[in-house]
Amino acid sequence: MADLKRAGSRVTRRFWGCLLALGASSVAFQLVMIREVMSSFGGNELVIGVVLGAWLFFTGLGSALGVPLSKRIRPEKVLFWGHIIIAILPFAQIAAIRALPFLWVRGVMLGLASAVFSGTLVLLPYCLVAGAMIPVAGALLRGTDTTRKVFFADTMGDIAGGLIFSLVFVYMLSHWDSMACLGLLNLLAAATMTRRGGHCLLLAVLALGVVLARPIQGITTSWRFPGQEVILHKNTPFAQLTISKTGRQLNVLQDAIPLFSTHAPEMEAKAHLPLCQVQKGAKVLLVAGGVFGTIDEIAKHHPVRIDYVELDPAIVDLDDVIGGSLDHSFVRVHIGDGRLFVKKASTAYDVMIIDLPDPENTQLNRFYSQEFFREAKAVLSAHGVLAFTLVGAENYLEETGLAVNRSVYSALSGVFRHVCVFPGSTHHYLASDGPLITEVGGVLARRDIETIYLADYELPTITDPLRMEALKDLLVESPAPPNKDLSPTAFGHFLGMWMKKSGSPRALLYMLFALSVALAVISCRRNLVAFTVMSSGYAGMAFELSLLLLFQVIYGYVYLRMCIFITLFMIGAALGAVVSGRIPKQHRWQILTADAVIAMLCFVAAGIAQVGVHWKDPLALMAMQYGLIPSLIFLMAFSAGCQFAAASRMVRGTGAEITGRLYLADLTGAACGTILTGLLFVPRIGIVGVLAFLLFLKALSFALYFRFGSQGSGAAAV
Amino acid sequence: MGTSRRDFVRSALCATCGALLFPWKNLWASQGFSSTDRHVKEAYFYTRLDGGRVRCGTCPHQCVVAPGNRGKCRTKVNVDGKLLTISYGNPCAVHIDPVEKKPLLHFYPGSKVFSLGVAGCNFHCLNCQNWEISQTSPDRTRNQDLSPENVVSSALRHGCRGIAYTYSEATTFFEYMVDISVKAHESGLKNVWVSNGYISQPALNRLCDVIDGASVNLKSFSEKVYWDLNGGHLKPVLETFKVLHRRGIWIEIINLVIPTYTDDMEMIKRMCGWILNNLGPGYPVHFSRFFPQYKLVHLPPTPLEVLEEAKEEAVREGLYHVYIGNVPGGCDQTQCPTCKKTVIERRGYTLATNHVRGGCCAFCRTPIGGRWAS
Repeated sequence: MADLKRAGSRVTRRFWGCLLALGASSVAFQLVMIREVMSSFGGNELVIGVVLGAWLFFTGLGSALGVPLSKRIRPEKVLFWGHIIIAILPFAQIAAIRALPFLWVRGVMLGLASAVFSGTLVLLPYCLVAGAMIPVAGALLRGTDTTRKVFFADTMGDIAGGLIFSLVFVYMLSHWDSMACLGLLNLLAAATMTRRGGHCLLLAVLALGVVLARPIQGITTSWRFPGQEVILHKNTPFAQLTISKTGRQLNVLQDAIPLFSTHAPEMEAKAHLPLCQVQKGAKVLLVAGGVFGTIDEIAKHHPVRIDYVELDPAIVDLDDVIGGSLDHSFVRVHIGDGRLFVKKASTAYDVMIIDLPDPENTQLNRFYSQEFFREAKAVLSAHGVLAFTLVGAENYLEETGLAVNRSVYSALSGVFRHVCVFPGSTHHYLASDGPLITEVGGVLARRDIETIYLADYELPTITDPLRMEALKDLLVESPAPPNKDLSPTAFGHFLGMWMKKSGSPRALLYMLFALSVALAVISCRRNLVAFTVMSSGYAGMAFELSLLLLFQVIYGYVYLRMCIFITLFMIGAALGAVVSGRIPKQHRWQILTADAVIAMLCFVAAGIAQVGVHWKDPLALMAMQYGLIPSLIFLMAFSAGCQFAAASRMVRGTGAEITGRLYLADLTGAACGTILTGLLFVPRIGIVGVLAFLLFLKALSFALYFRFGSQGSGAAAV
Repeated sequence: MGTSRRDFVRSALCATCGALLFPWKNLWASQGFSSTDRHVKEAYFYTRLDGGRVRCGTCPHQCVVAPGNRGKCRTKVNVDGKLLTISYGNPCAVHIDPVEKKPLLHFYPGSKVFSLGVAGCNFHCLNCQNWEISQTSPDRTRNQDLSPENVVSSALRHGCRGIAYTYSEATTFFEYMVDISVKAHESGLKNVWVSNGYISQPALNRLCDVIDGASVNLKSFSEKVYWDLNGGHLKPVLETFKVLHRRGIWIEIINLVIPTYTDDMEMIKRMCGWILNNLGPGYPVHFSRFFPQYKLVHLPPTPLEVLEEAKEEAVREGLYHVYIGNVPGGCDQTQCPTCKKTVIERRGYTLATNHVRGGCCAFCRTPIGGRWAS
């Protein structure tokens, strides 16, 4: 009896040890790989969406492949070797993704095709192994409720991995070292699967190898910076920052893309064009870019105050190495989201300079939307000037770049009385309710301000009346819908421009969309329960993405809050599974209720999105921030988790079989949700459109299950 | 469950193979051009081959174009066994620029040139700063309708000294360029060819009859770099320089110094040696600073000291006029090679002082290479 008890507790220990270690390491490694991919492929949201989608899909595929494995080989043996692979493989994959650019021309931006084929090839082995281990871990247990327990344990592991990486590792460790910690954890989990001395010796040797292989990380990092001496490389929650040296020149790179180099005078125009519109002694708000010389240029106009807002404190720290711009007494540094700062600002600024990259993702799109322009106007003085730059071309602006400009121009001209666009390789936008001048050279001369590049080289081109007129005609020639927070059209056009620039065939993108839909359909073909789970996987991912975007729009990018929301989502899913398990019967009722609740949540969220962005009342904003949005995220995950657990009891088969099949449906749905929502639907139909589609999808799922699904008919045909 | 693993894998493979095998290229190929279109003209240099195919003779690629297809430059189309150019009278970029911006520093300094470009290029430089024009075709851009006569009259109306064929690769709109150039000469305007120098010998010889100055990119002195970064070959470009020199066309040589590709001082030394031996010391050489552009975005800009070093190397080799481009102040002064006095001073693209008199240094009468206003 005691032996049986001991064996039972050993099995439980193995089960929990395996899934916690697996969940934690796979989520952390997923985050690491996304960040690595951002560096290798130029930080493009399209590539990230595809890679994340591929990750989810391959893991789902791995779950399906794990089912026959669990029948043929002893689970402990599979898990032992699985943990070893999960511990060791990430190092090879990190090295491979860093070495990828060697396959192409040095320094070149890789297109979608190379990203999809090579990126997914690198991810494939890990995802398949991690996915396969899930049902195999389920095979350790006996009983009918296996899938629910697997789901719960795996989700708890995911929560742990997400929190540890986002709150600890990202601040303290490199990607390599993070994987070393989790590698050791997996080797420990592997140790619980065996009692053989030889195996333990192997694990000890591997653990030693993981520790001793540390110097390789420096070598692999340098592959990304050919011909440069890397003097600083650090992780921040937002990106990987690098300072390199080429001769005496310092280069700052964010995700391996040069952000700034010494002796590059492009910040002159950013500062002087708006500052020449107002009197000396202005109050200036600068969002980002300050340490790269913009502050020094603004200082030439003797401002009384510069509020400099930077999201990433690590960028502010660069000032010690590259400049000393922050030594001016009139500069006040604020760490946080620029949009949130604007929303809360009480000072009336004479000039506001947004020195951010183009709207290349939804996060950045918020700074080019009509709603933001209204908020900016509210904190500008009567004749205050808003300034920013946007993708341009000195000689000819192609269609997608023009579409980006048109949607932003349309948003801007709907808010400000005067808009002036200076054409150049980057277009400089100025907007104000007061008159704007183009005679910048005269003002610079009167103020006795010397520039290296602007006055003699740039101004003759960007203030050429013929060029200015031609650009203005182009911008107003065809009316474009204004870029908005919830309908980020500029971001959509920017993706199109990236596709064109990188030489990525549009057909490949459409093929990816079609493929993801086809795979989602195939994963639940002729199985109603699987369809319900797949559609909830899709809805969960799309809903979470939409609400995170909505939150950013209203409250800004608050890193910790984002982590909390994602964690809240996973806690909701885990709790849903637990609660479902406590209601032993009523599986059909649970599935239908979950569908109805999800549809209702989509409806409520769409309503909140429509009206919430216009709320100004602090109480209402607080209620939405701390009550509505977290509740919606939690309830969505809770319903999906509950439904998954209930569905697992409706499908016939062994624990491993049910786990494998439902994970495949769930993860394929989530993959589809990631790819379609972020890359197709949000730019095209906006957040409200996405939520309306989810409502339709879940209403369809509800109707089908209500009509054709019956208690105990797990394999009911659609 | 309804789906077996085999079904799943089979469906995924079928979808992928179907997409890969689908003839996307043919789908995209533009058809329906006719020699009667206003912006279409029969190419000046091509040979008819069997089966309706033609061999384009405008540039060294010598593309063999099947009926309905296009050459590498995207501007030459085979329509029923006849090679037509679709880049005629339809420039997408038209501006009035200082000649210094081309860059041409010894060619009527301080003058304005009427600059135009038609979409298309026979190279695919990964660092192209005009990729919006060069990596597409004229039927995909917003164009103006400008006949050669209109170009010339516009240039005269705006007080331009000449016409520059620039922005994209001028060789790809060869027929348009030649026809404008003929009319420009008749009106007393100068013609400036801004090019990668990748042109066939017959076409170049025809062009040399009508152009006056050329700003030609010598993108590197390595065949491998030429192929990797630009999709062309070095030898034909070197031949172009020799012909231009022989035909008395004023040349300025542009060399973009790209970190880890063309910043090797040994290579720069060899390049300068070749220029000295084959073209002489008098043509200006511009070492331009690279900035991350188009697809080459993972490399930092060229450090200034590398450009300075390249300049020193070129001067040491014996070249008279060496400039640093894309760097403020890098082209501010032209010195007399004999008395070392500053004969031309510039502020950006503006001429500040000019001490060249009758093509000679005003201080010591040493001839200064270039084309100067009388």
